[in-house]
Amino acid sequence: MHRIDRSAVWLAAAGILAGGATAQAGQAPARPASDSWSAVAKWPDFMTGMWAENYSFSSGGASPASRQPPLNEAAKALLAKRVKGAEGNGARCLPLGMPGMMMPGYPMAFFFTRGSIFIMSDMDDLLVRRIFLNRSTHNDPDPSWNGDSVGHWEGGTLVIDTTAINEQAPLADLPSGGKTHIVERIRLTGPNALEWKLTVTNPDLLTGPWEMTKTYVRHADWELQQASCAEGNRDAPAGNGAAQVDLTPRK
Amino acid sequence: MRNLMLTGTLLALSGAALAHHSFAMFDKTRTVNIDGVIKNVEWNNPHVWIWVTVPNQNGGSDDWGLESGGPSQMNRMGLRRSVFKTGDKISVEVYPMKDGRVGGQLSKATLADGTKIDVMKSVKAFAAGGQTVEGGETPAQ
Repeated sequence: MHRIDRSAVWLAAAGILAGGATAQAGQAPARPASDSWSAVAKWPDFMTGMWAENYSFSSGGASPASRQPPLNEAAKALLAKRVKGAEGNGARCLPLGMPGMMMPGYPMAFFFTRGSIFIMSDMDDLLVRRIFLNRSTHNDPDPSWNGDSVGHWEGGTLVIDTTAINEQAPLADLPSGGKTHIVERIRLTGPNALEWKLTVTNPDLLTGPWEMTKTYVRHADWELQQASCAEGNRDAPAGNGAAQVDLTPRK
Repeated sequence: MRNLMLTGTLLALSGAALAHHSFAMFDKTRTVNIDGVIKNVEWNNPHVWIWVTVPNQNGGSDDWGLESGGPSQMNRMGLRRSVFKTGDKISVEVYPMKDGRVGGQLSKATLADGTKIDVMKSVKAFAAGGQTVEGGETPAQ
């Protein structure tokens, strides 16, 4: 039988209270130089307007070959078991996660703040990423759809390391399994052109690194518009994932 | 008469691997032309749906449900929600449902005021250099 030492509990509680009081009365916590407004002011202008992916339409809008992931045999077998035309997370109004949220074909916006960069897509209001520039390590984060991202600047290139992407987040149309690691390098290649290089690894699904280079065009006058997928979705798939449409009149 | 370029819609309609959904339920090998009256417009996410009442061969009418782009995409191409007015006549070319139900994916439309909407032409127009791209992938011409 365990006995609870009440004095120890009270001491711990007092310590918490004392710590809180100290934090309120004392100095603000020290921050690295990257966590300052003066640092933000020097970052390249990713913020103005929104960025739309510059598709190659030579094949009618089909995905470029560079997007084809190097699937391993296990992944190919899983894909083969799916029904033809199976839907992904988008049709279910679920988050695409990383790297999917950067690739849906909907424009995205950057927001700079002290020590962090946020990326939002208006495909769905669930698609928000935070990239921490005020820390350089992943501190045992809980897995999430977009994972844990830390970044730093190498000249004008934003370098991002992302891990802790959850098991459900899709990779190559399959649940990632939780072992996706992504390194991104993002830079302006002109006043209105953004280059995005991704290297994706996942030992459960890929034979090696999946490398992609994507380009985005700036639309300076576009504004982020809230898009709540669930408000009127008629494209939720069948239980086996097959595409279907709900044509039930609502009015 | 205006020609509205559906540059945004292509992103949802052209089959990008990670677009909102697959569009596999529509028959992309053929189109159907219908003339009718706009019954209702669902201007909501993730897709705008335009409902058109069309006379059928039995002397009655059918309500066709036509899927289009998302509201933000429509806005960005200058196609505001006020363009589609309930009660207006509309002529539409659609990719029909594979399962035979009355409905499909919007391909082209002519509105009551003569405004023409051509999704696929807009795809090509966008690709042909609607935007200046510096240092990026060269759009197809």
